[in-house]
Amino acid sequence: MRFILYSLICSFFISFADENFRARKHIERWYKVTDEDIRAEVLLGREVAAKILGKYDLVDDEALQFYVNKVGKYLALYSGRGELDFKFGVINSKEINAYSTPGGYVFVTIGAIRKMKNEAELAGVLAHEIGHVVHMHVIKDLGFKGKGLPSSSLVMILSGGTQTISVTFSELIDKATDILFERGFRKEEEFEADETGVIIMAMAGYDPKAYVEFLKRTKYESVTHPNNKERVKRLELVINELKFKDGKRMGERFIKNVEVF
Amino acid sequence: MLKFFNLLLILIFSCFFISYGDEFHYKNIPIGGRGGYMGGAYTAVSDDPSGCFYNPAGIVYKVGRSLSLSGNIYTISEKRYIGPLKGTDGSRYDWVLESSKLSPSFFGIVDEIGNLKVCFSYAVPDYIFRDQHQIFYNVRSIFPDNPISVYIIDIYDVDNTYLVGPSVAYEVSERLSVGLTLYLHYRSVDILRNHLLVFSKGESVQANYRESLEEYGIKPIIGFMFTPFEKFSVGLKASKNFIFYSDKFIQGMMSPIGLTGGLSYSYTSDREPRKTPYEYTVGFAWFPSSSLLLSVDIDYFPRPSSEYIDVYNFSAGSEIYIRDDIALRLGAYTDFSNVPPLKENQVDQREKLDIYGLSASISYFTFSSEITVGVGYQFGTGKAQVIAGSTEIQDISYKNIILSLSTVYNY
Amino acid sequence: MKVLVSLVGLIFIFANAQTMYVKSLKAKIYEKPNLGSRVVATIKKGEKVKVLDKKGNWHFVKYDGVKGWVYSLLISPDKPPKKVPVLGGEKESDIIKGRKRSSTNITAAASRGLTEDFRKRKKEKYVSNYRSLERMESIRISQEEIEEFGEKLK
Repeated sequence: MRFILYSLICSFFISFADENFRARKHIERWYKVTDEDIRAEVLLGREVAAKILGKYDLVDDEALQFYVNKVGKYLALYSGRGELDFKFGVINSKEINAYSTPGGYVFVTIGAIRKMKNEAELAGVLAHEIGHVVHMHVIKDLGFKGKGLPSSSLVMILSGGTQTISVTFSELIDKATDILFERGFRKEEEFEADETGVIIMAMAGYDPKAYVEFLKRTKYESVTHPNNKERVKRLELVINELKFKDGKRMGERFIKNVEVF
Repeated sequence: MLKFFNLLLILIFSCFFISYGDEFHYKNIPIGGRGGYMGGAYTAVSDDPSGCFYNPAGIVYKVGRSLSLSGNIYTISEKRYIGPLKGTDGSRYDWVLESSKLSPSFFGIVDEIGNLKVCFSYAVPDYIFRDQHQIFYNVRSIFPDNPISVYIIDIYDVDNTYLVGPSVAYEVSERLSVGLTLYLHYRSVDILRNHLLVFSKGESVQANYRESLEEYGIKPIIGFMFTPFEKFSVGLKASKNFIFYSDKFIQGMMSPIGLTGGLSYSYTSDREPRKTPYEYTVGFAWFPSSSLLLSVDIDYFPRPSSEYIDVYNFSAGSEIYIRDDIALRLGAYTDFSNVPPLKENQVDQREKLDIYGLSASISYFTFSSEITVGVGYQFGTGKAQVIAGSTEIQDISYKNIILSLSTVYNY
Repeated sequence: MKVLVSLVGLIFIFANAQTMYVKSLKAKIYEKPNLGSRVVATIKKGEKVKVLDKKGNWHFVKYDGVKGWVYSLLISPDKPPKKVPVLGGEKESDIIKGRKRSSTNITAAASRGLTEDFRKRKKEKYVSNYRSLERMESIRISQEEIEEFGEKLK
């Protein structure tokens, strides 16, 4: 009896694993991401990707582009978003930076690649960007709640047959581009992408410590990726918890493929 | 009222007590397309607009804004008093009260203002409409050699109760929410009874009875919702109807032709509000998965005065999703009378009818709306004394079928 | 009493056992809820697992007789969506096709990028480079190549 009482009292201080247990089955559909919703996400992300390429063009090095795509697509196997066809691109910018758009368009600057020592560091940067895609950070920051960009909202924007309505769509694209180039993600979102990123790279077999080393060495900071020290600190904790051993760095393969130095 | 019927009794062997309304039961019409069809076992769920009626604390769990409308398409009820009238050949006649109606039962709208959920709702917890006549032939009267050859009872009864008002609910913590509803209660009763008796020797009596009542009250409902464990919820509700205005008027008139005595009449008016009980409900709900929900409620109504007894009602309900867009709801409940059991050798006691109810419905969901079609069946037995001044007790058998349609629109 | 308690317990367990789907292209099931433990199975997108427990970001699951831990991000209670067809062709207008009242003009314009005419009228903050985008999209790497690439990391 006393045990029951104790567990009752204790249970008051434990939060629920599933706080949404009241939601009934028909409501789940509201949150269920449909194929159309994902296409809407890709449609938006593709437009934003075109804007990124409008600012920084692709590096004219087919072999390098292929190599980065191989690393990225291999990581994407473990991303949890098997429905997306991730695309990777190396862009012409001296800055150390990386971007990703909804739907799986991921970019890394040539400036960042030049500072990398091995494939694991590249994987860390790409996996971080994949993390933003996995958590749909851009879409959430645009104000779409729930589990994604509802196709219904996009269709409302697209349909109707008047051009003023497509102005709204282009505004949506501009806003998303603003997030990437100017506003940046929220701090919590950066941590979330970091955490998911190291898990993805570790599941893929890379040594997650390489990513931390890259962050430390380059003091990789920008408007969109602030607060290097705090990130490094939190990442070290996360990596410790993963208890992952035997991660590979793939230094040789990286140097063989990246002949831009 | 009794005096008048005693007068009538001098002339005929039987006459009928007024038996209207349902202030003797607390749970008459299922409210809302969800709670109503889970047998009213909804105090620990209560997360849609009808929650404003069942337990306002539950509306904090309503996702988004929504508007709900439910109506009883049709209600057919039959209350049969077994054998109060004796025929000249010794057989007995039943007296049957029928009610059929088309009525709205609930309308509610829920919205969000800051941290609060607010709701405005309108409920019709009791609605009786009877328009019927019944004819009996060759009924015994107090004159052994002069039976009643034709007895016509014409009935027109309307007894409606409406509740309308706002609710507000607040989520105190992940495990506790609280809500308050403030209903304005309005009840309007109109009872019209015409009796026509034609005796075999040619005399006749016409008796008219009319009763009207207007009643206003404030009915606050305070509710709490606890979540002691994941997937488990407890609802508590307390309420009382404070009637602040009541105006009852009764008039009766009897005109015999060919019999001794002339036109007689009586009238009374009464402004004393009737006594209403405190109402307490505790409910438990279990949400084992997103396609199954089980709930039970226990209602307690302590007697408001010594004329009544304490009442406990029980209800149980479940909701089962057979597809992600189709749900079945099933319920069972009791609706016990607050009248004490009838005693032998007493006269003019109020009827006691204990009712049981079963309900089932099917709902179809689209992205933003829900439509529910349901059927309810109520049945019960009881005892009554329909003959004024007589110690005889009749059995009652009661049946009621409710067909209803309700919709919810989320926006 | 004991029987009753265990019965209630059983009901809870029964009610909590839930089927989930792998939504990642690949998911490793680990012996313990950490990446340092042995991989007991590797499963593919669309496969069903029975969830027995949950701990932080890890789900304890049963798959094909094997029990182990899988990272929560890789599974979902819903059937995983199909792979999105590559955009840039006719396919993308499917998104609107099913909808009523949509204008095919706008649809096509929106999916290909906004119409030239429209772009001229509106001074855009950012310019779009569809040529490079198409170049980036034209890079195709087969599943086998990706698998082979990953072999070295085992």
